[in-house]
Order: sequence, then structure tokens, then C-alpha cells
Amino acid sequence: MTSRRDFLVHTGLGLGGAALAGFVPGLTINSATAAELIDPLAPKQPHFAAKIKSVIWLHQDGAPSTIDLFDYKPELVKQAGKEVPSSFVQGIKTSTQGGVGKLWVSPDRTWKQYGESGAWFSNLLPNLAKQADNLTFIKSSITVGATHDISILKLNTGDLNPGRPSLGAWISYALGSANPDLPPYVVLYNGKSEPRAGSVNWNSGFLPAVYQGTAFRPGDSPIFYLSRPELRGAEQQRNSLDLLKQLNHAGSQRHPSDTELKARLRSYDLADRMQVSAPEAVDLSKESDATKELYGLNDSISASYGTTLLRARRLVERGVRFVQVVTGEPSGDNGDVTSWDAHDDLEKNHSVKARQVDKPIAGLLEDLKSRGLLETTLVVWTSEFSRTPWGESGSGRDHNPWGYTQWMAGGGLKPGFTYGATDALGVQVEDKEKAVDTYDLHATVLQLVGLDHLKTTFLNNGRSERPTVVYGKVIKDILA
Amino acid sequence: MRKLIVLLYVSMIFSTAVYAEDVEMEMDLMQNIEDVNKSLASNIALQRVDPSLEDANQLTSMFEVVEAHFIKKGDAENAVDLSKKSKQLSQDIAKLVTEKNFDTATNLATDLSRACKSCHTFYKKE
Repeated sequence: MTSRRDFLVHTGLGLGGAALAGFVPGLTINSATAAELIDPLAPKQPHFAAKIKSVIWLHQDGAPSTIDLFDYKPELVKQAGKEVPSSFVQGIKTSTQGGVGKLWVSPDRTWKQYGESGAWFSNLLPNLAKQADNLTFIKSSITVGATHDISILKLNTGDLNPGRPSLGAWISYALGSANPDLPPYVVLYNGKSEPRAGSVNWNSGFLPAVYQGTAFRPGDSPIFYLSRPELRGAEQQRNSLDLLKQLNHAGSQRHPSDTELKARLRSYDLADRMQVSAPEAVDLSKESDATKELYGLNDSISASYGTTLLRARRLVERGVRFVQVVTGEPSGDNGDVTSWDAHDDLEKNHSVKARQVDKPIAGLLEDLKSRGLLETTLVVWTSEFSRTPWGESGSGRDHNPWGYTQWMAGGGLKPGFTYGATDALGVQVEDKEKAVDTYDLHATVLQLVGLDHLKTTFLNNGRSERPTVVYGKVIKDILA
Repeated sequence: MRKLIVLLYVSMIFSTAVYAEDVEMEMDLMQNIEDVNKSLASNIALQRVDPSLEDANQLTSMFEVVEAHFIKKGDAENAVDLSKKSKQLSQDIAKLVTEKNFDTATNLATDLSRACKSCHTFYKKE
């Protein structure tokens, strides 16, 4: 027999589920609140057949100079040492801190074409260059150039102010979890400290808190206090947790619309299961020496980042939908080189940073491919902006949000393909119609996981919100 | 209430445009356009005909002001073109929501947002 409470719960869920799928526009209740009544992370159907199951979002923190990595500019080499012609800076505001200096190239830079696609790579990325035919370049990326923290926020949430959900949170909300023992959205980083600007870059904004990213710390214990204290018996802990669970769930029934409370309870349950699953997911002891070498774990500079990427692959294998990897400080003693932010001595900075990521990322792509996972995974190389072709402080480069390269690899894309271009000096996007802003990148990632960015909506304070704010255009030309 | 304020604001700008030769477009107008544009995107997503229509009509009026401003300013051909394009898009959206063709209206509203952003890239003051 159905009780009145069951009837209300199931009726609410039905409406909520329909609203989640975008079928009940204008619904006056908060759709996610209704869905929360059972399991907010239950798997949900995409809008159309997904090309990929998981995303590995490689944020290159500090903004690498893509004209020193992927975007070869022979004209810049010719013009080095001269002033930037005014025609190249027309229509852009160059009021970045370093001003506009003279065009500059590193004397150590060399370039070569790789693969059947003939993609250009500099001498800084010899391993990634061998993956040329697996990559899909977007050489017309643009964004809003502000401070790193603000532009990173835009990269992850689509807004310059905190408060909007990150891309991973939207995907968790729209698709739920594919593995009940692990969070659907995990953040990884290497180095001693959390990424700059912190958790606003993986939070859930106005979405229920359960959809935020879970940060896994480097080291054997990815989450604080996940391990059982030595002085506590397993059965003792089990009994205590079971009692706590009963009390918590009894309490939560009195507050059915409290998504924070539900998220916390869900976290307790997940943490309980993760005591086993999370350490196993990041435990590399069963990985072969060859695999570890593939990811650069035997190199003093790339070891910590390689470890992070190997963990990312293991998480993807276990059904984690969105793995956000922030490039932290390289292993070993590298002086003041921490991020890609090379306002001076770019050669020193980028030599270390490129060595930190080159082998691990190439290894990740190779490993995913050999396991048949590249077809169902999307790897995204992204950054908050890039760097100018003119020099700063003699041998560095300033911030460039007007035209730079990002790339993707994996299912549903045209491999070995290049979309868009920058001008002859690498200052700004050549054809404005092909400019790819953060929203377009997000729309394309969502498309590949089977979501229409225009129909992935959430009702917040009476306003229908979507991941791409009011923008977003899928880059159809790069889709297979 | 917000919409009433926007309407009064647009009326004021029109009055000024009629009676004063040297109109300086205020940045508040661009902010209002952004706000109404966000409201429009939401109302289309929620398939609300009347509020969508109201937003689209307000935008049409505001883009007329923007267009007049840039014509008068001179040496801003791109901005005039973008204003005209935005005005046309707003009018098309108004027609589409009346016909309850919300999918196409959503696409056009996204195009409208991109046009706004393109214009801001060049003309919005710091």
C-alpha cells in the first residue's frame, strides 16, 4: 500500500526528473530538490548518444605560451626585436602589466612537423609531438584577460565572479554518477599546496552541493581522515557508523528541501564506501614499471605530475566522469619555477614546465589508446589564457587572452585536425568568426558527453540557468 | 519593477536623443542590455511567451539607441553593423516566441549574446 508520504515523494520525483530532462519548463519548484529525495547522483540519461564517458581536464596553471609550444610563427622569428606593428594590436586592449614590448623569440626554440597531420611542435614537447595525429587543435581560443585567479574562474565556471557551477559540477548534475563508490567529479593536483584560487573552481555554485568536485590530495591518502584510526576496531567503527547513518537519515527526513544536509549525508555514505575504493583507485602499486615509466615517474621533474595523470587514468577506468587536473609545482628543486607564469626567463620556466608535463601527457594518451579508453575519454589541454609574442622583462612574455591554442583528444573528434588560427605574429585570432571562447569549449565538451548545453538547465531563484550562461556554440567543425 | 525602470530609462534616452544633439551613451545602458538579455535567455528556456516578448521588445528599443549613438559618433562602422544585427535578432526572437518556436529563439538569443560580446570587446570602456 502506498502511504501519503510515499505518494508525495514519488510524485515530486517524477516532476523533478522530467524537469531535469528539460521537459517541464517553467516548473515553479526547484527540480533538483525533488530529485534529491532519492539519490541525486543516480545515473541519468543524456540528451543524445554520448561519444565519450569521461573527461580529463588538464588545466595548465599559469598560462603556457602556446606560440612556444604548438603555434609556430615564422613571421615572429623574422620580426623579432622590432616593435609590434599597430595593425596587429587593433581592437584589443593591451593594458596588461608589462605594456607592449618588442617582439621576442627564444634563441633556443626550434620547430618541426610531426605525424601525417604535419602539426608543428617546438623542441619543448618531443614526446607529445609523437601524439600529433591524436590531437585536435583549437588555435583560435580567446577569453577575458584578467588576473590569473579571475580568468581561471572563467575557464572552469564560465564567469568572472564566484557563484556559478564548474563544468564538472554541471556534468555531475546532468548525468549523475557511473560508480556509486567514487565521486563523479574528482580534482587532482600535484605539488605541496592546493591549486591557486582553490575550491571555487570546482564547486557547484547554485547547483546542489552534492555535485561539487572532490579534491584528492597527492600522496597515499587522497582524502583527509579517510583511513580508520589504528586504535579503532573495524566492527566497532561499522556499528558506530551504522547508528550515525540511521540518526542522520531520520534527521534529514524532517528537512527534505535542505540540499546542503543531503549533500553532507551523501558525503558520509560515500566516504564510508570510499574508505576502500578511493585508496585503491589511486594506489599505483599494481601498475607495471613500464607504465610508470610511460608517465614519466622515473624522471625527477615529471614524477609528481605523472603520478597524478596515472591516477586520472585509473579514475576514468573506474567510471569517474570528470577529472580536473591542475598542474602544480614540478617535482624536485627547480628554483622559483612553480607555474607556467613566465613573465621573465621564459626559457628556464618553460623548459622545466614542459619537461614536467610532456612525457606524462604523452604517456596518458598512449596508455588510454592502448587500453581502448581514448575512444570513450576526452582529454582537454586548457589554460586560463596564454602569452604575448612581445617580450616582457627582456626574456619573458605577458598575458595573451586574444588568441591562443588549446587542444582536445579522444572520442567524437577529428584527430590530427586544426581549427582556427592566430595572426602571423600570434597576437590575436585571425578570423573572429572562428574565435572559441570558454563557453564554446564548454558547449563542445557537453555535446561530446551527450548533453545539449542549451537544454542543460537549472532553475535558480526563478531564472533558468545553463552552463554556458547566455553564450556557447558547439565547435561542429572539429566533431567527427 | 526592474522592467519599469528599464523602460523609463530607455524613454529618457529617447527623449534626450530627440532634444539633444550630443548624446553620450552611458555604460548603464549596456549593463541594462546585458541584464535584459539574461532575462530573455531564461524566459525563452522556460518557454514563457509574454515575458520573452517583453524582453525582446525592450532589447529592440535599446539597440535602436545604441545604433543611433554609434552613427552619430562616427568611425564605428562595426558597432553600427552589430547594433543593426542585434536589433534584427531581437525582432526575430520576438516573432519566434510569439510562434512558440523556442528552440530557434534560443539559438538566436545565443547569437544575440555573441553579438553583444563582440561589440563590448571593442567598445566597452574599462
